[in-house]
Amino acid sequence: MGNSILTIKDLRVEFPVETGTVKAVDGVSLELRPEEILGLVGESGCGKSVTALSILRLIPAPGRIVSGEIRWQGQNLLDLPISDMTKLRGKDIGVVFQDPLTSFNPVQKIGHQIAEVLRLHTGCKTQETRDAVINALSQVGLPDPERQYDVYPHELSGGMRQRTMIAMALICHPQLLIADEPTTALDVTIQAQILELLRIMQAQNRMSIILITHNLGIVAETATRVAVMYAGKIVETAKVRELFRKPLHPYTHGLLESIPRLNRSGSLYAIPGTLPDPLNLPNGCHFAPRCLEAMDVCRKLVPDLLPQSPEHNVACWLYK
Amino acid sequence: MANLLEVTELKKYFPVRSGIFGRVAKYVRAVDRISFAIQPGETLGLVGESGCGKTTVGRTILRLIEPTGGQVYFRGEAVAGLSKRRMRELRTKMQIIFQDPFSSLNPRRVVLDIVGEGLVEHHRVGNLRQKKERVVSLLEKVGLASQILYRYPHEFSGGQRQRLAIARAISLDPELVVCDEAVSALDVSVQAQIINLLIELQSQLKIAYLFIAHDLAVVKHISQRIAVMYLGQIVELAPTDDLFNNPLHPYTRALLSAIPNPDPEQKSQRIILYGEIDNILNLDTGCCFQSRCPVTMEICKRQEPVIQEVNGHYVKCFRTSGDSCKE
Amino acid sequence: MRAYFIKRFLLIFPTLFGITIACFMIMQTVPGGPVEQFVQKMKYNAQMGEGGSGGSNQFQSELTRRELENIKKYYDFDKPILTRYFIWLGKLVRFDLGESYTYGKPVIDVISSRIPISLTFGLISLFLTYLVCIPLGVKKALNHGGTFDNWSSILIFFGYSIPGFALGVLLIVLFGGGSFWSVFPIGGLVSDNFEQLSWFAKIHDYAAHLFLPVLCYMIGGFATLTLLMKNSLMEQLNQDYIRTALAKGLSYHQAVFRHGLRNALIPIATNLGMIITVFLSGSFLIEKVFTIDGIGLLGYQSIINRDYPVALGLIVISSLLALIGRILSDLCLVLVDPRIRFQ
Repeated sequence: MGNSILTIKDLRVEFPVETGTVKAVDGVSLELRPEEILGLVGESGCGKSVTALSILRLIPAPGRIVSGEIRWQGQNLLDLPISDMTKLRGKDIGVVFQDPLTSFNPVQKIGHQIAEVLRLHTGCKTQETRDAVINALSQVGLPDPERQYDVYPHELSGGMRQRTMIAMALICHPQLLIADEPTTALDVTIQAQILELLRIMQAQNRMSIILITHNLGIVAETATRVAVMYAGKIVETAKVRELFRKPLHPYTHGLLESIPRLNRSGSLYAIPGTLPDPLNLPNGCHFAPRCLEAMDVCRKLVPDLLPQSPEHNVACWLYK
Repeated sequence: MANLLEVTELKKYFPVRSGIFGRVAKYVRAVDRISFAIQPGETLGLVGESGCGKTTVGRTILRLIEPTGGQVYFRGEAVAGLSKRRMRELRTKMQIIFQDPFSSLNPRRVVLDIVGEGLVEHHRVGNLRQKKERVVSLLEKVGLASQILYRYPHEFSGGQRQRLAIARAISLDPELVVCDEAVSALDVSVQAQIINLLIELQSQLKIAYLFIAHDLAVVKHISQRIAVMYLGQIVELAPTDDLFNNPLHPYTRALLSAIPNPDPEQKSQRIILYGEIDNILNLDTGCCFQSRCPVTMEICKRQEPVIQEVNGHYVKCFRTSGDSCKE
Repeated sequence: MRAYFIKRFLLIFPTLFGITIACFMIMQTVPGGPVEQFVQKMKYNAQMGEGGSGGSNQFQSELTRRELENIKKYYDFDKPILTRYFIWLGKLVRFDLGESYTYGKPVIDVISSRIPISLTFGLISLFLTYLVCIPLGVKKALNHGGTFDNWSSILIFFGYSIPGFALGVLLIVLFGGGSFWSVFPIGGLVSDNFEQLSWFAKIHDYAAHLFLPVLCYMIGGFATLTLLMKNSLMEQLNQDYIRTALAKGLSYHQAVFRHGLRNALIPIATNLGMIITVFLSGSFLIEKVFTIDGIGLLGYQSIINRDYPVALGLIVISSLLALIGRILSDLCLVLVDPRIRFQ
């Protein structure tokens, strides 16, 4: 498709460990359209964060991108020299991490930490930077931004810190924001504030967001399109309404059924079994051992992610 | 029916010291005059955001922390001031499951010893064979295979460890289990399994739960009644359906509307609460929720509301006392 | 926080009281004090003079007894030990440490005459240790598991396991005595003809004398500080904020030096206050090997000779410096880490 701003093709990321190799991302293909909020959901260890961090080539130490292609504005980011990559980070693509306390340098004032991004990517003068930072802080709803410039991260509350993180990620007006579990460390009422802020900033800056989360409720309320991951693979992608109304993959279906909901009570549907051992992934479809509808072919061959309808792709042998 | 557990005016204040001689300048009122009761075999959900004091309540009931004031009665017997020996007996009837299945199990002991420790300690089993038999049957109850007796905690996933913690908690046939954020650290699919296990065990063994969590949706699935806490106080307590269909306290309403709804067709009317939980050094006068309340009045700043009850629905708010609060 | 520091400062006095009373008691109850030494000397003399007449012997012992009384009185040993302590403490409050038995001079003068030597060695070795260890630790952290890291670890642990004085002996044999390669003087601080030397030659002479002892002082200190620096930086490099720094568009090098390093230096700053103890630093063994008349030797001799005023004086001053050093360390911590607030 011509109008995607980012295309990931067959990405593979591996983490060598003592007892073998963990295939954290095992052949992921994904595309991102302008001004969309793509929800990337899955349970812990499914590879959603690693996929997103691969875009910026920020995979933690022993991990490495084995193969694949990440196309951004006509160039493959995986071929880019590291010096060009640093020019891209923070300027064209911003990131918001899960824990806003540990994600800030604890001994530097937050104003300086935000100003650093501006100084790196623009030739701003000192006073201009200060004004721009204060402006950005007020945009994300920090009360008394003049004063907050000189505050240390630990002096802010959790919600305020995450607002500051968002201000820092957006200060150069990136076209893409990667939000990695941005509200997981926060309380529900604060989570609601932060999601609201993300929606407002998306509309104002007309950017795309990749929203990584394990919470399907957040996806339902915030995302426009969803990609569901399981054990290193994308099993289903669809527009958000379509996915929640008509989930095709048995895993998506089970996941939706197992969420505690306000309008139901009593016992929940639970997907049987446990997540597969990442060192020893099953042959064929990774979900087959837990799938109630598994067939012989599922245990032998890996299904491809194929369209069922124009906007709805699924990787499952039930739909061949 | 007689109450299994009754908590009256429970208080836990933590002193804040300052100055050269460490005089107590202020108190953090972590738990501030809380009262509730749990019936045998019932689940009471206790919800609130981080720092609201819900965990302290759980630990004070088990006397893992000594309360500053108030009383806890277990089967009519006052827990505070019990002799060490009586307390030891009582502990078998009250157990706790913690949030973090990675740190709450001793990493150097095998499953047999972790689950069987209480059995040996309280002389429920005479020899190793009996201990093994009992542990195997406990493991079966929580859905674990019997061949894991000699494995260590690190060999298990988060969900399996939480099953181990549950097996340990029910080993002495308790009447009350405090579940302190017992499913919060788990993934959705595993969380559902554990919630179902807890519900199943309750119907089999007639255990009562004090289910402490921050997620209202999770609490809803397991509780018959729910108490909502804010800054050390219970602001609303009601039967589950009643609380969800007719929330009376503005904080409960905001909390309910803040939960992301996993149904994109139903865009909920969201009440966004501004501000964050107040400084832990609580306000001195008025309602604890006044600074964030969307419908605060003049009186809320001057006076503390009293708890009112209508048909088992308790609420602590001025809005509900006079006219209807639904506006 | 000011209250905290005032409290810490006030706590110095009871602590010092505890230290001195314990040391005073132990020291003065150990046999071999000045009075016993005198008796010993008298007995020796008496034995030597055995050949003389019995009458004069009688007279001599009478004299000895009187002399003994005088000696006791002179050293205040005619009073009970607690009284002696409080007399000593009373003087201490007026900043009077008494007079040395051995040197017959005020203790303050005896100690302060050695301080320049301590300061020279202390400051030079401290400065050089930090100068080497911090960059070395950083380099090792960035090269963790690499060839440089492994080889430098072997080297510094080799140095760590050699006692300073043993290295001193080795160095003197190799480079001092002339049996192998005579480039450095064997000992002392300056040459005999120091006064006649030109201004430049003086510096050269002094540096040549300092070189080997400073090396001995430093050799053991490398390992601790280098590894502290390395581990501290490595821990910081795994922190989330380094990832944030990279995501902002900093290069890895920039992220390490602009963000990681300052955080990694915090544990090192914790020890900074203890630098104040260099005023009285000095190793008896190294001083002995290089025949330097420093604090280490003074302390050793004062204990061997039961020169109580000097020994106690050294204890008082070094305890005081250590106690102040700890408060200074806390202050440093507050200065470098905005998260620290003492209550």
